Amino acid sequence: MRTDEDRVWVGTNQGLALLENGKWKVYTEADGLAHRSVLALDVSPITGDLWVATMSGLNRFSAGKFTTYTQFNSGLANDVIYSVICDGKDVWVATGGGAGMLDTYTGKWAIYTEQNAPMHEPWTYSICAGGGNIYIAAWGGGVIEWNKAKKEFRDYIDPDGEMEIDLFPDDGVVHDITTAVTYDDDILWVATYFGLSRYDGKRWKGYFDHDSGLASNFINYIKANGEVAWMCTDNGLSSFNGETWITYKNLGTDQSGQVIVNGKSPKENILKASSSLSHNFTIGVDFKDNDIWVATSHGLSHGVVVGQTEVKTSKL
Amino acid sequence: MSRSNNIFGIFVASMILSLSVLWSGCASQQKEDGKVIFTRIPAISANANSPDPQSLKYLPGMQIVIADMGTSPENLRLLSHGFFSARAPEVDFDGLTVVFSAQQNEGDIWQIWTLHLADNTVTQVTQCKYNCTDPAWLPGGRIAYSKQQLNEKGLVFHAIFSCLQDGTDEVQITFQPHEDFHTGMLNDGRLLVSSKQLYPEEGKVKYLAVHPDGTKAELFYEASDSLQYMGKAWETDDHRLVFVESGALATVRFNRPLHSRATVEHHIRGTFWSIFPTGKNNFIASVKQTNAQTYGLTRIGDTPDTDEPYYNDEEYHFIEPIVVMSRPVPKKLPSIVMTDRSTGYFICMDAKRSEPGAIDTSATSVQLLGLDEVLGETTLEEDGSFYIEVGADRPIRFQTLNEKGEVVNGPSSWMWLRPNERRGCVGCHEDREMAPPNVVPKAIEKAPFAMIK
Amino acid sequence: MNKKLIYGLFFLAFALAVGFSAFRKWAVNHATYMTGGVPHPINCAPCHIYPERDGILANILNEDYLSPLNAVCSSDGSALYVIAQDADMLLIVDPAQDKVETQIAVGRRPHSVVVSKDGKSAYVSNQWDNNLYVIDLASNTVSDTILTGAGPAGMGLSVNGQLLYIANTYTNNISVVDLASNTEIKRLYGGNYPTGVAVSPLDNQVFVSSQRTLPVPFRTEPITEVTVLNGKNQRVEERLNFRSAHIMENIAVSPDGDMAITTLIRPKNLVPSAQIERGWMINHGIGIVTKEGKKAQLLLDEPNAFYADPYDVVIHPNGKYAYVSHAGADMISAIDLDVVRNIVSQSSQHELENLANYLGMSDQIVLKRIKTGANPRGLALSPDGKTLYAVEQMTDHITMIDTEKLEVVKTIDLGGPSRTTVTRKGGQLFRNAGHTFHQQYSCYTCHPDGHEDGLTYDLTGSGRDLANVQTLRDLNGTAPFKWNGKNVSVYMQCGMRFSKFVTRTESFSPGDLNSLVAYIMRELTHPPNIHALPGGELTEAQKRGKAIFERTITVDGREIPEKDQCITCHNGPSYSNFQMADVGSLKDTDNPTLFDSPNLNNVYESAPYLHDGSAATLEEIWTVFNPNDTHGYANDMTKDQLNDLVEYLKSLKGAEYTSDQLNYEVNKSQL
Repeated sequence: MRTDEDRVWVGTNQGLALLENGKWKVYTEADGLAHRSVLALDVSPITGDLWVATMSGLNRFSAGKFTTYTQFNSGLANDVIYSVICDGKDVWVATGGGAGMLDTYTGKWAIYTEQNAPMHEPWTYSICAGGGNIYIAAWGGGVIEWNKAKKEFRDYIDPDGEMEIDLFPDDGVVHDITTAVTYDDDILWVATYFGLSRYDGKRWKGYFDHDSGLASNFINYIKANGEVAWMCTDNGLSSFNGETWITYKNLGTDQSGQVIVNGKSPKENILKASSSLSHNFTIGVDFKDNDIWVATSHGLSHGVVVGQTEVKTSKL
Repeated sequence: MSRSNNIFGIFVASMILSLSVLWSGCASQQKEDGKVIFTRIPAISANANSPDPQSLKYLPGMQIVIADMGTSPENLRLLSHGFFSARAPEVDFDGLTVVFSAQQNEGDIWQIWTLHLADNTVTQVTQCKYNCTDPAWLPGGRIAYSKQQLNEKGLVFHAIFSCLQDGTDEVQITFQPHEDFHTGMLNDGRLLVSSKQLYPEEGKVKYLAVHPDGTKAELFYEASDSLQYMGKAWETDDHRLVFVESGALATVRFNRPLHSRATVEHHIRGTFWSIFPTGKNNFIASVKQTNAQTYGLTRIGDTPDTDEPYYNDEEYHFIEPIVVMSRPVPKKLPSIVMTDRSTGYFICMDAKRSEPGAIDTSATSVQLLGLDEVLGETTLEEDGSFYIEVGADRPIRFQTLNEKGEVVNGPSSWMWLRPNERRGCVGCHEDREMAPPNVVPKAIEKAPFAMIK
Repeated sequence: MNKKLIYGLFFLAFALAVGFSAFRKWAVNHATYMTGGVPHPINCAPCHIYPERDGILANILNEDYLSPLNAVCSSDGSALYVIAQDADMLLIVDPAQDKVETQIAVGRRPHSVVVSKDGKSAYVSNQWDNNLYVIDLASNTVSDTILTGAGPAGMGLSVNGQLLYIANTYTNNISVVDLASNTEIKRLYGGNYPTGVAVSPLDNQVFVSSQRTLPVPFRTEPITEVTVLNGKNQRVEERLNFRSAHIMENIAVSPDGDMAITTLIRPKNLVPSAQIERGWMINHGIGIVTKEGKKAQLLLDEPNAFYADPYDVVIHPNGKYAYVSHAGADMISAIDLDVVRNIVSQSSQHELENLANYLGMSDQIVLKRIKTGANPRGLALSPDGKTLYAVEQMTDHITMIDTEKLEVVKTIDLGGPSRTTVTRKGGQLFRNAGHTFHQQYSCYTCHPDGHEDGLTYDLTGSGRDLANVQTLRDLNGTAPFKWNGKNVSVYMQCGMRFSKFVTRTESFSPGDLNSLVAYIMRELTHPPNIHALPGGELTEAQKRGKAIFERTITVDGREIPEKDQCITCHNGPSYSNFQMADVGSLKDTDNPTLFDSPNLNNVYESAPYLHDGSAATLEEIWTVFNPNDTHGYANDMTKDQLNDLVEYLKSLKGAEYTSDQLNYEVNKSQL
């Protein structure tokens, strides 16, 4: 999901939902959406156009009209698109057939697969931009870095190569199967189903649910906002600024939830909250000023940051 | 004499000869330019009180004459010398040859003739079995005319035909149970036909515009009330058509004839027979002025003082005036008719559509009607379209039916298709000024439904 | 006299006579074959001399015309700034003195001009150079160059004069330029071939009209976009779809911002062209957008008279009248906007949809038609609205019209050549609708800018043998013509059958045909290829694509049969062997035929593809319409290889353009 000015866009498996002025509107294939299953979204800061990654093509949604790009009618690598980002005038996609880049000024496409990039296979899962680079979460290939200035690739993989466990947590990305990447404040964050990696340009650091405040090693999505990274896991939403962990969970019984600080068990570090996430299986997050929006497997949650470590949430 | 002198002499002689030939050509062209040709009818043989000129069509003793504009009737020169009766003169686009219809001897069939103004040579064009009349020039040297028809039911119709100047290559152009008279050429290359339905019941007179090969006939103009006569129409330089409509002078804009009827401004009181444009807002007309007993010729101009009668004779009607002058040659339209074929095609975009925006969804099929028979029936597509192949050169009409077989709309006006012709309509009785919506009619996605009986 | 000499002369004369007779017979047969039997005097020049672009003869036979396209009036009304498109110049004209005061050389194929708020600068869009020139009007020199997208055309100045909006025709986007720094600050997606720009006087909206339809499903109506930008944040706030319309060349906004009006054409490409009567082929009119968001299309045609190729529209400062130039009809329509307002406000959207096809409409909204010289294009109003200037592209004149009397006051000669050459006459014919029934369309209507309109027509009127309109650019040496290759010359293409199926009126006279063919063959050229690098260089992707294009073995090393190699059919300077081929594209709706291998130069401009336009993009030729490798062996390629091939195809251009890339900094940086 993405926020854009006063609008909140949510990709669902039943269409693209827009929350605007307190009202919902859902766009489906009948409106021109390429496929009802929306996997990722991004808003171009230059044009305000929304780019929609679906299970069957890429949409540009601009001023109420969809334009569809598919592997059949354009240079799009593959119709199954897991991630889309806008980097200046360029739109990058992570697809089941490689990463792709569309130069929106010239209309030219580029495709990056195991044929021309250090990937193990063309399946890419996530993409982000930062520090003059594009980072691609390549399934089984760790993280691929594209240096925009040099037009060169390099990869970051798990040096120990172990698929079941991470023998040396801080030797590189914790696992070669990467699910999401995000970059902000000069930090690259890499999500996997086996833990979290943080890279400051010099050193890698691994984080796991058993040795940190991370809610779960199974991380669906990650988004950095300044120095804080927000991890959408299968067991709640965690945030981490390099020092402090905060995890938000739904208790399941009512709307109340709990906020766990630093993942430690003393009662004073587990705060009860009157509101909480819609569900602990979280899959997306985005921010707008003090608002935080969380996509879960059972609805969208809206939170307001009221302090450095406090978020009030409400289900929508 | 030196060789150079010889050559010079030959050159000079050639030039003189060439110039003299050119001069003689010009002279022959200029000989009658500006003169007026018209038909003179002995008053005694005409019912001049009838506003219906059809009653004058086949009168005895009619004569075609030529005169200088503005001279007295005594200076008339007879052109149809030797004919028992002659009328309906029309000069070709160069102003050199007159075509007319005439009865050479009493009791003869009316035929079409040409007369070269330069030497008065007369040539018979047609060998009609029944009367042929009201001829007009087509671009490319062909001549169109009306021909009396007698169908198997004994009904008398008139249809339009055309042929070459020598009478060969005769082609029928209109095919409907109507009284069709050729009434002029449009500059766009189409014939203007005054057409009045005779069967199964009489209709009012309309103008149809038809391609010279008989294709694409469509309504050009119809009066709002039930007028019984519309005379020959002429297109003016400012793209209007002027004609006489039941005794009154009328005009329509060529660009939008169905909704632009106006009255030609004039100050003459009387009943008009025919009109011919001589310049911008200037006409010569045949009119029977109030209290007059006969039709005379009148000039109509921009101002009241230019409206001046200048030919009147109590013993004659003067009708059908035309001025000898070169005229713009209408476009020579290409023909799509293929004589080795026997069918045409008709596509209707939406037979459920009638007035703008009005859709009657109850129609489910369309029936093709012949003179007294049903020629075929086909189901309308979901979008109301139908696409049929129809026997060419025969009168046809349409009507739409509902599921019970009851008539929803129709029957339509008579129409026909020429061999290989394709025609289309937007709907049934739709506004005739509506262009089709830009859609693919579903019917065109299949082969045409054959209604060839 | 010597007998031998006499005999010799006799035999020489005899031989010459026989030779001449034989040559003449051959020439007659040749001309008859090449023209498809069009009766005409034998004349070699139309096919063999007039098409030549260079050389002494070409220089003698042709002239360098100005071909003015667009103009604006200075804020005090004392000067007219006129774009001379073929002369690559900006002319500064004193309309009071009928005098061209200054000629300023600008870039290639300039399109439009706007003047800054302070009147000190003029901005000229150079459509073939992908940039704007900033002209210092004090010194009448080019003071700066601003890079834009490809094909900059229409421009609009923000009300505060700080931003300039430019429609980039060839890259389908809109550049926003900051005039303080003379740099492009953003580029937004426009429609397809955006050309016209108008800024609302309230500064809250910028309207951009487009020439071509957006990509639409096969055999569905064209939909052309008017893009509406929010003037405050320079974002697209609306994409207005005009259904069944295209060629929306220009757009204007009323002084109080209550409506925008665009010129448009309503093609009937889906309708079986069973007839032309009653507007069954192409209609012309205006599109209207009200501030309430209502859209309407009103025809300016009449049932028996069509006013082809509406090009420009301007609105009187009092907001009561609009003026539309009909380039194909040599006419200006003066429109009563209050009547238009009433019709639009009082009609439901459903009623307006019906009215869009109503040929009686112009009787209500058109005050007067004003005749001009050949091919009136750009219009400019004096600041007080009392004088309308119409730029005549095919006469090098400007017609000055009194807007109160709606009468022509005078004609200003811009100083172009006085001689009308054969090709110039051909240009006038090409752009005039007088050779179609009821002047319903000109050659230019379906071939705007000598190209094609991106539509597929049912010209047989039977739903069969649908024809995707082909470009007319750079045709010389590319015979045969037509998709089925049945026309061995353009002469034949425009001959008798053409009048039966296309123009549906009297065919061209031999003289007119000579001129028309000369114009088409000589004057219509592709713009510089925007995907090509200077000097014939290729990008890395294009190099890889070239290797695929020229390959003889499959990805896995097997030999590709010659008939299935790209270069077999697409070789030579035009990338065609001019032979007929079956590439498996024949549809059930086609009568059996082979297809002429099309030329590929600047092929990127010609979507959709294939003879019936069923392939929306180049990619679709192989991803959708080549399941059995009948259109080249291609199914072994990976997607990135196909992308490379497409990139190479897009870069193909005529050899004459290889060195003509001097101004292509944009390409170099963007590719």
